[in-house]
Amino acid sequence: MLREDAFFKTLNNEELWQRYCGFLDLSVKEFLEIQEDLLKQQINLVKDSLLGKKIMNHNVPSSVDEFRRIIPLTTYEDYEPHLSERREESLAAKPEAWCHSSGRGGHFKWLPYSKEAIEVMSQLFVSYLFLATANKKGDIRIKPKERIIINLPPRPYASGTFAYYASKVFSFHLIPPLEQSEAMTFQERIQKGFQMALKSGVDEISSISSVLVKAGERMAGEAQRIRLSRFMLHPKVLLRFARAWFWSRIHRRPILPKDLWKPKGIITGGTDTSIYKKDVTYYWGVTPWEAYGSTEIPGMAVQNWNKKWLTFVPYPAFFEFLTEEDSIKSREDKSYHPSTVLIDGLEEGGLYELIITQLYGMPLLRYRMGDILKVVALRDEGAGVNLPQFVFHTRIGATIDLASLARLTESVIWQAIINTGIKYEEWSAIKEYDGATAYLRLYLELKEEREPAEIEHLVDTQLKIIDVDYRDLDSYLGLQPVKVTVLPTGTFERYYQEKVKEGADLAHLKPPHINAPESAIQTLLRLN
Amino acid sequence: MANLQSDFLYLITPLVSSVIGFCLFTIVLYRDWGKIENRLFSFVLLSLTLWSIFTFAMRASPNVQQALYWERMITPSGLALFILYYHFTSVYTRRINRGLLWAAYTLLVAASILSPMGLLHDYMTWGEYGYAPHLLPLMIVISFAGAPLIVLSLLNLIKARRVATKHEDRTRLSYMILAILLLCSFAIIDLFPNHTPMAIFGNILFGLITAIAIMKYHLLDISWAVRRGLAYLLVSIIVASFYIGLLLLTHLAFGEEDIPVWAYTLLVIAVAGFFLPFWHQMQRLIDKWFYRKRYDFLEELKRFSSNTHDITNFNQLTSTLVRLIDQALQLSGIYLLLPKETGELEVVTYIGKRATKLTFESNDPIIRQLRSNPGLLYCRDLNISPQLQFVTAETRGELQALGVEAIVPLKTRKDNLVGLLLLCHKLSHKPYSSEDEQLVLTVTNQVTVEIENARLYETARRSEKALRESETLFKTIVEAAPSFLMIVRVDGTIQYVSPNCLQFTGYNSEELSTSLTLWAHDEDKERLAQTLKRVFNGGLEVRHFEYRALKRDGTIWYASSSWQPLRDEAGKIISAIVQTIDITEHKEAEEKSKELTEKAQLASRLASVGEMASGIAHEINNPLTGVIGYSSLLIKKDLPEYVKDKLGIIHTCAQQVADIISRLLAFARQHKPARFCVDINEVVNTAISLRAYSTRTSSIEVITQFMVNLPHTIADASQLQQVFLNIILNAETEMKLAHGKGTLWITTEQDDNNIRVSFRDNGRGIAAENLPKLFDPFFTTREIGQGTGLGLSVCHGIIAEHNGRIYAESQSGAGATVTVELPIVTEDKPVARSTGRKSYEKGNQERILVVDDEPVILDFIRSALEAEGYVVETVNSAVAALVMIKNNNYNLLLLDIKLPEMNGIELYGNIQRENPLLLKSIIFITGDIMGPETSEFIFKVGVPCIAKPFTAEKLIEEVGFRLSPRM
Repeated sequence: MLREDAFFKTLNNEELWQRYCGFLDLSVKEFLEIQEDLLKQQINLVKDSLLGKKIMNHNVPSSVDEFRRIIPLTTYEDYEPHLSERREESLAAKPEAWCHSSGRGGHFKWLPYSKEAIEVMSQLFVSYLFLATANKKGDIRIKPKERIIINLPPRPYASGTFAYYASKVFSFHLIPPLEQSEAMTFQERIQKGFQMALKSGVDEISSISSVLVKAGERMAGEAQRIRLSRFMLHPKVLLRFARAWFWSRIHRRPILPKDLWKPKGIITGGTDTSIYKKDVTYYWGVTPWEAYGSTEIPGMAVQNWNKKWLTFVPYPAFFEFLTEEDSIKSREDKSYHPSTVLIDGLEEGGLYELIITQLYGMPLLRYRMGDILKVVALRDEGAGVNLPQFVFHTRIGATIDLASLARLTESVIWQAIINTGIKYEEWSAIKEYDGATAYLRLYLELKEEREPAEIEHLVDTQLKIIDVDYRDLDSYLGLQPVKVTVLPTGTFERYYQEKVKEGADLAHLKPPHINAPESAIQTLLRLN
Repeated sequence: MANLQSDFLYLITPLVSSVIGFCLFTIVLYRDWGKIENRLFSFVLLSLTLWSIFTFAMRASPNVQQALYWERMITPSGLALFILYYHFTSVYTRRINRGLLWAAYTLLVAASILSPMGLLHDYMTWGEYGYAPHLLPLMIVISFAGAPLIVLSLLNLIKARRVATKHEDRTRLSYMILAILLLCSFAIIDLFPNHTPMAIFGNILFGLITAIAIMKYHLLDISWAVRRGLAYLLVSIIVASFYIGLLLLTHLAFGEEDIPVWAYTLLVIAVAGFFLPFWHQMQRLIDKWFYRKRYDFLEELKRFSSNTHDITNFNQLTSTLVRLIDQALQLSGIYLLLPKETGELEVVTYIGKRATKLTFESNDPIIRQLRSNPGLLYCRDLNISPQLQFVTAETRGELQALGVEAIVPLKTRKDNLVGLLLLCHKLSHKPYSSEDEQLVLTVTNQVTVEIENARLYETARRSEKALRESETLFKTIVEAAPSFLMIVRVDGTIQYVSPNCLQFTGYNSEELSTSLTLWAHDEDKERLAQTLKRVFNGGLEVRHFEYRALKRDGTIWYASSSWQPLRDEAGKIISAIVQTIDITEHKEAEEKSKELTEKAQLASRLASVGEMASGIAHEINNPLTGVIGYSSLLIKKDLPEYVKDKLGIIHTCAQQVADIISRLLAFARQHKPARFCVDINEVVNTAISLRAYSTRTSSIEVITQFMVNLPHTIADASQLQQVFLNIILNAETEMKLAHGKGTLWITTEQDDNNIRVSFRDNGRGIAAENLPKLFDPFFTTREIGQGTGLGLSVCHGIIAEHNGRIYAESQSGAGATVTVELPIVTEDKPVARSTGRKSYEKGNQERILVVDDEPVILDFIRSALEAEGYVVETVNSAVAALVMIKNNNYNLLLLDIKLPEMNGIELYGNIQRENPLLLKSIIFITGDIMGPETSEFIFKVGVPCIAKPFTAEKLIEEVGFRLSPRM
C-alpha cells in the first residue's frame, strides 16, 4: 500500500483534513515557529556544503534574525556554475531529481530536489486534491485511485516531476498514463487525455486554464458536428454522450465539457487563472482552484477551499518579503542591502517581492524569486484562515511601463482584451516608441473581423476601467497609448509549427504575452 | 382468534417497546440536544416509538379493516426508522452521502403518501401468529430500496471502527454494530412463517444498546464482558452442582417421605452459610484474574505513594515510576526523559530497547506542542498535526525504532514541563484507552511533583557541593592573588579582608575592621571618604581609584582600588567589594617614564631644529667661505688703512656669522665629539678662568667647592667647556639683571657613578612655567636681540650626547641651580686623529687640482694658494677632474664632496681604482655638515677634511701640512 493511501485507511476524516490541510488553521505565530524550525534544520544541513559555504560566506547563522542579517540576497547566478552543470558534490544532500525551468529568461535553470523535499511536495499534491475538491472546511471528496487528467509539462519540468513522484506515494490513475504521456507532444497529450476520459470519466483535472477554456470553446463549437467513430460506439462513451446530449437539450445549449464529465475539482496555476476563472467554471461546471509555485518550489501557496485567495504553506520553503520600494531600490543599487519582513510584518494592500530559502538540504538561500505578490488581506474570515492572503501580481520585468505613470501587467492587459468581448486567438504585447512617446503595441490574432482602430478604442476603454494609473495617462497627458496590429488568422499556429520544427522547448512554442523578444515579434510579422 | 388476542406477549411487547422507545427518546434528547448525532438518534427512537404504537394498535385491532388501517401507518414509520438511522450513522461516522440521503428521504415521502392511499398493501389476513399484510409490488420495491440503508449503516460503522484510534470509540462502535446485527437477526427470523413475530424484540434491544452506546462514557469491553459472564456462569454451575447434589442427598436421606419444610429451610440456610464465603471467594478469584494488573498496580501505587516522601534517592524514584506504569499498562517499553543542565531532555531511566540517541531540545516542536496542549501526544499525531509533521526524520526514526506510541508530559502544577514519559505499544497491541490515559496522567501528575522535588534536591545537593568547591577555590585564588580583597560595609567598617592584605600592610583584621580610611595617607583620607560616599550613596562603581596608604610601620605605598557596590534582594546597597592593588612600583616607573618621555620630546624638538639648522648652515657656508677668505687675503694686501679697517670689520662680522653657524652645527650634533679622559674640575676651572674678567667686572663672586679626587671621565673637554661657559654666562646675566652683582656657587661631587656639577646663582630665578621649556631651542626670556635661545639647547644636546643629564631647579626670586650630571666612563674610546700642527712650509710650485662647483670658492683657493707658491688648476666637476688627473700629475687634490653628476665620494672611488697612489694626496673641502654618510666615509678612509667656511690661513696651513714631510 502506498504511503498516503495508508493514511486513508488509518485516519478518520478529521485527521485526514488535519494532515493535508491543517496548515490553514495555523496562527501566524505557529506558522513562523514551523518556519524557524525548518530553517534551522536547513542551515544545519547546508552549512558544510560547498554551495552553502559559498553563499553563507563560511558563516553559520544561529537564529532567523542573524540569517536574515548576514546572508545576502541571491539570484541564480550566485549558484553558477554548480547548478547548471548539475554538480552534486556541491550540494548538501544528494538530489533525488533535477528539474529545469521553462527557460523563458534565456536559459534553463536546473535545480536539484532532495528526497525529503520530494516527499513533502508529494504530500502537498494530495493537499491540492483535498482543497481543489472541497466545498467547505473538512469536506473530503477524494480517496485513493482518483482519475486525474494532468495537462502540464512532463519531466524534467517541475510539474511533471512532482506528478510522477506523487504517483509513488498516492495511488491515482493518470489520464493518459504517465509512461504513455511522456512520449507525446503537449497537444497530443491533451487530446488523448480527454479522449480517454470519455471512457473512464475523470475526478480531477490539473491544467492550464487557457487549455481548459479552449477545450470548452472547441467543444461548444464542434459538438453539434460530432462524427461517429468506432471509439464513439463504445457503450461507456455512447452513454456519456447521450447523457451530455440530454442535459444540453434541457439547458438548450451546445454540449459542454461539464455535460460529459463531472470533475470534483480543477487544479490550475499561472496568470491566466484569475482571467479565465469564469469561463472555466462555465465550461467545466467547477470553479478552478489555484496553486502558486515555480520550478524552485512547486507548491509555495495554495488557495483555500473557497478558491478565493492564496495562503502560503509553511513546509516547502522559508519565506521572506521585500517591500516593492526596497525591491526596486536594491535592483537599481547593488550596494543597497534591504531588510526583509516575515509573514507577520506584511501590510494589507502592500506589494512585496518574494524571497525564498529552500529547505531539506536544497541549495537556494535567500533567493529572489522575481515575483511580486499583493497582500489582499491579513486573514480570510470566510475560510477561517488566519494567515495573510495573497494574489499574484506580476513577474519583475514582466510589466510595460508607460510614461512612468502606469505599469501594465500581463493579467491587466489580458483581462482588458477579454473584457472587450472581441473573439481572439492569441496575443502578444510589447512597449514601442514613437519618438519619445512610449505606447503599448498589441499584436492580436482575431477570430472575427474587426478594425484595429476599434480594437484600440475598446482595449483603451477597458484598461481605463481596470487600471487606475492607466486612466491617468489620458487625464494627465492626454495619451491613448494602445496601438493594435491585427495578425492574419493562423499566424500564431504557424509560429507554433515553426517552433516545433526548430525543436524548441515547450515554453518557447508561442511568443510570450508580454515583452516578447524582438526575434519573436519579427517571426510573427514574417509569418503574417 | 380470541386465544391469540388474549396472547399477552403478542400484545404487550409493542407496548413495552413503545414505552422504552419513548423513554430513551426523552433521555437522549435531554442528554445533549446540541449534538446533531444525538438529535438524529432521538428521531430514530421517536420513529421506533411510533412504529411500536402503530404495531400495538394494529395487533389490538378487532378486525382486519382496522388492522389494515394501522398497517398503513406502520410502513412509513418503519421506513423512517431505517432512513433516520442511516442518516444518524453517516453523521456519526462522518461519511455523509448527500445524494443518497436525498433519495432516501424522497422515498420516505413517497411511502408516506402511497401507503395511506393503499398502494402498498391492499388487504390483511389473519395468520397463525396474528395479522399479516398482503404486500403490493410497490411495497416490495420500497422494502428493497430501504433495506440497503441498514447495510450501508452497518458498513459505515464497521469502517469507522477500523480507523478509530481510541479504545472507547472502538467499543462504542462495537456496541452499535452489535445492536444493528441483533435488529437484523430478529428481522430475518421474521421472514420465516408461523412463529411469534421477533422483530419487536430486536427493536427493543437495538434501541437500548445503541442509546447506551452513544450516551454512556465508559462502556464495558464486549469481549471482556462476555468472558467475565462466562466465568461467572461456570462458577455458578459449579457452586450450583454442589448445592443440587446436597439437596439430592438430603432427598435420598429422607427416602420416599416428604421432606419437612423446616428441614428444607435449615438446609438452605446451612448451604447458603457454607457456600456463601466460597461463592465470594470464587468471585474474588475471578475478579483478580480479570483485574490482576490493576490489583498489582494499585498495590504498587500505594507503596509508591508512601515511599516517595523520601526524595533523597532520585534514581530509585524514577525507576519506580517507570516500573509502576509499565506494570499497570503492560507495555513493551517505557522511557523517562528529564532535562540536563542545557535544558535538553535525555533518557534517565527506561525499560525496553536501549535508547542512547534519543534526546529532545527544549524548543523541539514536540516539546512545544506538549507545553501548549494538555494530555498525551500520540506518535500518530506526527503524521496529522501541521505543527508536528516536520519533526526531523531522526526523531521520527528513533521513536519508531523504539516503538513509542504515546508521549506523556510531566508537568508541574504551574504547567511547567519538567520531563517526558515515552510509552511504547502495549504488549496486547491494543490502543490506549481513556482509562489508560487517565491512569497515566494521574500517576504522572502525582509523581511529577516528587520527581521535580527530587531533582531540585539533587540539584541543590550538587550546587552545595559545587559551592563548597567554589568556596575553597575562591579562598585559594584570593590568597594567591596579587590584589587584596575587602568587603566594606556602608558605615565604612571592614567586613572581610583577604589574608594577603593583612600580611602586606602589617595590620591585623581587628585593627582594619574599624575603618578603611584608617590606613589612608592623611592627605588622601578626605578623597577616600568622598569615594566611599559615591559608592554607597550614589551606587556607583568606581574603577582604579588611586591614593596613598600607610603600612603599619608608616611606609607609604600607592593603592589602586576598584569598588563594586553589593545590594540586597530589595536593591539596597549593603556593602561594597573592594579590590586593591599595590601600584607603588608602577607609580615609580611611571614617574621615570614621564621623565624619559619629556626627555624624548625635548630631544625630538632639538633634532628637528638641528635638521633645519644644518640645512641653513650648508647653504651659508659656501658664500661665507668667499667672504672670510677674500677678506683675510685682502687684509694682507697693501691697501689704505681705512680700507684695511673696513676689511677687518667685514672679516670679523663674517667670523661672527661663521661662529653662529658653527654653534648651529654643534647644536645639530653633526660633529663627532673628540673624547678623552678629562678632569671635570679642570674643565670647570678653565671655564671660570675664561670668564674671570667678566665676573670680576660684574661684581660677581664665584665660590667653588670641588671634590678632591673627583674621578676622571671620558668626555669632549671643549664641548663640556662650552656647556659650563654657557651656564656661567647665563648665571652672570641673570644676576646682573637682578641686582647688578651676585654670587655663583659651583660645586662638583660624585654621586654613585655620576659626576655632578652644580651652578647655583642668586639671580632672579626661573619662573615655574618656564622650567619645562628651558632647554627648548630658541626659548629665551631675554629681550629681542639679547640672546639666540640656543645656548641651553646646545648644552642639553652635548650633555645628552655624553649620556648625562642637565636640569634646572629654581624658586622664583631665589636664584636658580643648574646641575650637570655626567656618567663616569673609564674605558678608553677611539681617539680622534690629532690635528695639532705647529708649522708648515711654503709652496714650491707643487701642482694642486681644486675641484668645486662654486666659482667663488675655486677663485679664492686659487688666489690663496698661488700667493703661497703653488700651481693651482681648477675644475668644476668630477668628470673634468678625472680627465685632468689622467693627463697630469698633481701633488695635491682639493675635492669638494657635494658635486653635480658625480660627487666627491664617487670621485674618490674612481681615483682609488685608477691611481691609488694619489689617495694620500687628497684633502676634502666641504660645506656639507657632515651628514651621516659623509661622516662615515671620512672616518673610514681617514682623509683630512677642511670644513667650510675656512680662512686662507687654515687652508694654507692644511695644504702645507699635507705637502710637507710627515712629522
